[in-house]
Formats: sequence, structure tokens, C-alpha cells
Amino acid sequence: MNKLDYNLEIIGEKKTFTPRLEMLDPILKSDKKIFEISGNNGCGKTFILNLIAFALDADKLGEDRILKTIKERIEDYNNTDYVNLEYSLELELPDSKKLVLTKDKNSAKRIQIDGCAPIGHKELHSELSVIYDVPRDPSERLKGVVKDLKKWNDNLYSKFDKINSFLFKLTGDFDNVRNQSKIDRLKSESEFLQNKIQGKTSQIESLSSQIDQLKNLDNLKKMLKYSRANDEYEKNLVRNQKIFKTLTKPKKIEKKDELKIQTLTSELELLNSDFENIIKELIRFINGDSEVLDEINESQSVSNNYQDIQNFKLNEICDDVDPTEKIISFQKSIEEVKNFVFTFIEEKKSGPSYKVHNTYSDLIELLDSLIENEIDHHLSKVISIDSSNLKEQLKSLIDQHKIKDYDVFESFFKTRLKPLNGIISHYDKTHVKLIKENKKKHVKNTDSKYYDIEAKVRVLKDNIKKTDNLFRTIQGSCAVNMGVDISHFDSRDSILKYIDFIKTEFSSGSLPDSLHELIRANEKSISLLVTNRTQLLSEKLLKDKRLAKEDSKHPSKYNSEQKNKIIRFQQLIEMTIKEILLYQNLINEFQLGNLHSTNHENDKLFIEIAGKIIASSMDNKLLRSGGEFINLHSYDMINEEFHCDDGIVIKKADVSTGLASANYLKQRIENVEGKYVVVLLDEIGNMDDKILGTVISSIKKLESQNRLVLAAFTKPRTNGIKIIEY
Amino acid sequence: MKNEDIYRKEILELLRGHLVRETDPSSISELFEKLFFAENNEVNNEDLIKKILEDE
Repeated sequence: MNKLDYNLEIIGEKKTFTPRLEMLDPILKSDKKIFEISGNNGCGKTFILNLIAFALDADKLGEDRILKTIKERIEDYNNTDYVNLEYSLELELPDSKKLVLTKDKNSAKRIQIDGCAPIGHKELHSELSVIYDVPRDPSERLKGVVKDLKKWNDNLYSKFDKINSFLFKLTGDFDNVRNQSKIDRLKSESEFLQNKIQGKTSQIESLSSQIDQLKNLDNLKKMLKYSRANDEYEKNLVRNQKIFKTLTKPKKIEKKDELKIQTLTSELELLNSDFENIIKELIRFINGDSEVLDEINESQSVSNNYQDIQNFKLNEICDDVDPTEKIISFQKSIEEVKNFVFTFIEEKKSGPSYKVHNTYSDLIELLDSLIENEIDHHLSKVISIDSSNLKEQLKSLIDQHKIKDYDVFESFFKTRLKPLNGIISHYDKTHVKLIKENKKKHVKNTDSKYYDIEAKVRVLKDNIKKTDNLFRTIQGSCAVNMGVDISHFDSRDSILKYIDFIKTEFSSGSLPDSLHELIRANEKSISLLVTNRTQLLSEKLLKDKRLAKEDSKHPSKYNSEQKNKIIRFQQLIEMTIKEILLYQNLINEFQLGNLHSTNHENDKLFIEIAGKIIASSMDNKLLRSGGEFINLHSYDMINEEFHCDDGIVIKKADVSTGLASANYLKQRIENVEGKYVVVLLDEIGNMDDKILGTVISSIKKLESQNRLVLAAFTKPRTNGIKIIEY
Repeated sequence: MKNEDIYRKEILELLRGHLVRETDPSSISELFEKLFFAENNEVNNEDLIKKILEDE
């Protein structure tokens, strides 16, 4: 030390202190670096240590590096209400640089090396470490060592956590690298799905086109029907017009009465026409199905009933004096035939053909689904037949058990026949009204006939008009649908040619009687195909999305073997972190005084290690009560006892304070970091010369490493001041 | 040896005993050891990967 001058004014005490030459001269004049300052209490020896520490900004050190009490003590020199401090110190650094520490009255501290610009405490402490300590209770020292353990453990955690973060991110990105085989597989799957979608689309288009043709065929047939119906109406019209011409218009009937009679007559004619249409339709349905007709003919009573229905003429029956009996008989016949038909359909539906057809149709549908989802190979293995072959065979089986669709038949009998009773009743009432009206107005029979024929003519004209309109509408839509001019359907011959043409287009030529049945079957197939195609489309969309995602990734920097190596190392680091965190927890528990026992083998191993480190920090030596040293192996953190040679166990409370202090100081000094070190130890009185010698030997190690700037320690003495240099 | 190094050595031995597998290449065990004694700022990510991928 080259210079140490100060002026300390303690404002409250109104006292000023300056250096005592007998204390400082031996230090300033010596070329040694290690000094023991002993003197009586109040001689200012501790102030010298405080001053050096204050000048070196030790008050800025963290609490992990300086005792809180010492830090608070030197921080007081910043309080200008308490003291006025001026100083000027010069220390020689091991590399011969000069460290100058100065402070003038009412100004800030200044630190300069070799006359350069002043530096702050951070810069100073990055190179120079200050150890300022007071030997204290061994328990406190032990806590200090455990504190260090915690710090070292935290250092390990922080290092491995950083490594783990890097490796974790890296391995996480392994899944985000481009996988060419996956791309190839997804592409092939997407193409396969696209082909299937195209196949479905073609099937849908083909079926739709078939439906269009069938609808055209149906429309052509309707045109024929309306054309023929119109011919029939025309003939009737001509006949009735002829009759009408022979009739004379009734006279002496007022205009309003005539209108009433005309209205009632027209109403009757319309009701009769509706009635006849329904009956004609019924006959068409029954006669159109040979099986039903045969069944009816086989039963005498049903056959009679069916005959009665055909013979029943509403406009004639009501002319009877009492038509009720005939009407009831007709209604009964309708019910009988209807029930007979329902029973027939019921029997058909529960018949073997129906069962074979429906059950095997379901099986084909299931087979379709298996083929669609490409899982039919399991079935093929079990039954030893290719799924497509099986499907064809099942179709052939179904063809052998063809069934009729009786839904339309059933629907007709359930709904279309319902209005019959109402029509009859309405007709009867209207007829009675007309008779009354005729009587009231004295209308003769010949007059009545006039109105009947007149009404017939009117209804026929209406029918011709309606049918013609229907014909024209269908003709127009047919022309549009088939892409031909409307004039192509002007004649029945031409319509028939188109019908034949469409029929030949269906190569089998075996079109069912009911076109609607085939249209419905096709529509059902289309609906299934559309559902299927939608599923395929969404599946393809999903695959395309995955493909695009995979395609957008970058190629991997590592091959799979390298990836495995990195992943394995990351696992190792991750497990290491877990263990380090467990140790952290154990240290925390010890610091809180909660470490009483543990059953975990790993915890025990760590506690053993920590115990060894504590022993090592105490130089593996312990002073026994008799004054001799004993080799220390470890410290038991749970039972708080030292384990020594020959199985000797010493309780922490029984350990010599001086040796514990020396042991602690030694480990602090020997583990200090930094290019330069200043060691200040206050009140080392509890250490005898032998123990102090071990501390000094540690300081000497620093000196031999050319890191020691200054070491000073104080000791109480009753007879004046004494400076010992080492 | 500084006490912190003694601590690192002891913890390394403890962890190596039950974390490093027999099937792990010796280079992994060596790298693991180096990391224990390396200072925080001495660990370079690129070098680390190179060392992990180094052949025995």
C-alpha cells in the first residue's frame, strides 16, 4: 500500500479523526501485502478496513458477496448528515498498476487506475474482488457454504436450461422439415382420390343423362296420351254438338233461372268428369299390372266387385228414383278391391323375392362401401372371392329376383281414391238441387236434356283446352330438353319415332313398365354417388392441404441417424435439468430448516454429495474438543452432524467456532474469482495462531497466483497497537 | 480445484451413473462431462451440435 490518508468528521459527535501514524506507517512502509492489525478497542483498526472497503465500493456488492451487517456499516459513509469523509488511497496492483481511490469533501468517490479516467464500481468489480468478512457463528458459516451450493447448482441449471432451450427448439423443428417420401405418398393418394372422384362424376353424369332420357320418354308418352285424349274429346264434342243442334232452347225460362240451371248442370258434368277420370286411372293401374289383375280375376267376389266399379256410371245412377243402394254397393266394391290390393302388396313385400332383393341390395351397398374405403380385401380373404366378382354375382342374383315397386300403386289407392265418396255425395246433392230447380221452373225433360248437352259441350271444350295446354307445355319442354324444334312433336307418328329412338338407346330395351320407378332408382343411385363423391372430395381436400403444408417445408439439415443423436442428447439434458431442480428443492428445504428426512435414493445421494462438499469447504478438518485435528469426511444435512475418521460423529453445535470460521474463510478465499483480490477480515480473535495460519496460507496462495492486492485483518489487543506483516 | 468444480464433478458422476445409458456412444458421455465444466458463455450452440454429431 502506497498511501492512506483520510479526514473523518462524525457530525453528531463533533469529532474529527485523522490517520494514526503508529498504525499506518508500518503498513505504508512495508513491501508486504498481508497485515494483522491488533490494538485496543476504539483505536480505529476496523475503520481502516471500512475505509478501504468503502473506497473500493464494497457497499455496492450484492448480499451474496458481503455480509449484510458489514454492507450497512460502510453504506453509512454515504450519509452526509452523519459524516464528512475525505480520503486518498493508493494501492499497488500485482501487475504494478496504481489503483487510486479518492474522495474530496462533499464530492463523489473516484476510482482511477494508472491515472486513467475514473471508472465505476461495475468495471472495478469485474476485475477486482473484495472479501470483507467477520468470523462468526459456525452455523452462519455453514449456511454460507449451503448458499454457495445453491449458487453453483443454479449456475448448472442456468447453463443446462440454455442448452436445453436450444436443443428443444431444434428437435421441435425436426417435424417441420420436408419429408419427400411423405410428399410422394400424399401426391399418389391425392391422385388416386382424384381418379375416384372423376369416376363418380362420370357415373353421376351417365345416370343423370339416363334420367333426362327417361324423363323425355315419359314426356313423349304423356304427349301421346294427351293427344289421344284430345282426339277422344274432339270426337265427343262433335257428337254432342250435333245433338245440341237438334235441341231447342227452352223458352219461358227467365235468364237468371236459366243461369242457375246451367251452373248446376255444368257442376254435375265436371263432377262426373272427375269421377270418370279417377275410375279410368284405377282401371289403368289394375289392368296395367297383370299379376294384380290375375289375382282379382281368380277371386269371384273381388272380380265381381271390380266389374261393378267399371260398370258404375255416376250420371246414370243418379237418375234412379233411389240411387242410394247402388251408391253404397259401389262404395263397398271400392273398399273390397282396395283392401284386396293392399293385402296383395303386403304379401308381395313379405315374399321371398322381396326379401332376397332387399337384403342382397343392402349387401351390395355394404360391399360398395367396403370397396370405396379399400377394406374389402379382408372380406375377399375370408370368402376367397374378389369383391368386384362377388358384387356382379349378387347383382345377377337380384336380377333373378326382380320386384316391382308398389309404392306408386299403394300411394294411388291411399290418396287418389279418397275424393270418390265426396264427389258422389256432392254429385247427388247437386243433382237433387237441379231436379228441384227444374220442377220449380217447370223445366221439361227435353229442356233438361238441352242443358245437359250444353254442359257436356262446355266441359268437353274445357277439357280440350286444358289437355291442349298440357300438351303444349310438355311439347315445349321436350323440345328444349331434346334440342329439337317444337314442330318435331306436331304429329303422333313423329312422337312415336322419338319414343322408339329413346327405347333403342337403352341397349337392353327392357325398360320397366313404370318409368318413374327407374327414374327414382337412378335418382337414389345419384344421391348415393354424390354423397360418396363429397366424402372423397373432403378427403382429397384434407390430403391436398397436408401436401401443401409438407411441400412448403424446408429440407432437413440432418439425416434420421443425426436426428436421433440430437434427440437423445436433448433427452439427457432435459433429465439433467429435472435432477438439478430436485437438488435445488433439497437445498431450499435445508435453508428453510425443513430437511428432516428423505426416502428417495437420489435425494440421499445428493445430500451425501452436498455433505462432502461442505466437508471439503472446511478443508476436511475438524478441531476436536481436545485440540487435535480430525479428518472430516462429510456433513449430514439431515441430522446436522459431522462425520469423521473412525466413524466419529460430532454434532454441529459442538464444533469449535474458531476452526469453523477459519474453514469457512479458507474456502471463500480459495474460491474467489477476479484478476485482483483484496481480503479484509475483522475481529479474528476467536482464531488461535495455528488456525489463523491456515487462513493466511490460503491468502498466500492468492499472492503466489499474483492476484493479491492487499490483505488486512484486525484482532483485539489490550497493550497498544501492533502491526504484524506476513 | 475450486469447490464449485468439486460440486460439478460430484453431480456429474451422480447423474452420469443413472442418466447416461450403456448404449450411448462414449462421445456423448464425454460431451456431457465437458458441458458440466464449461462456463455458461463458453457453450456455443453450433459447436455443441457438431460435437453431438461427431463420430466416435
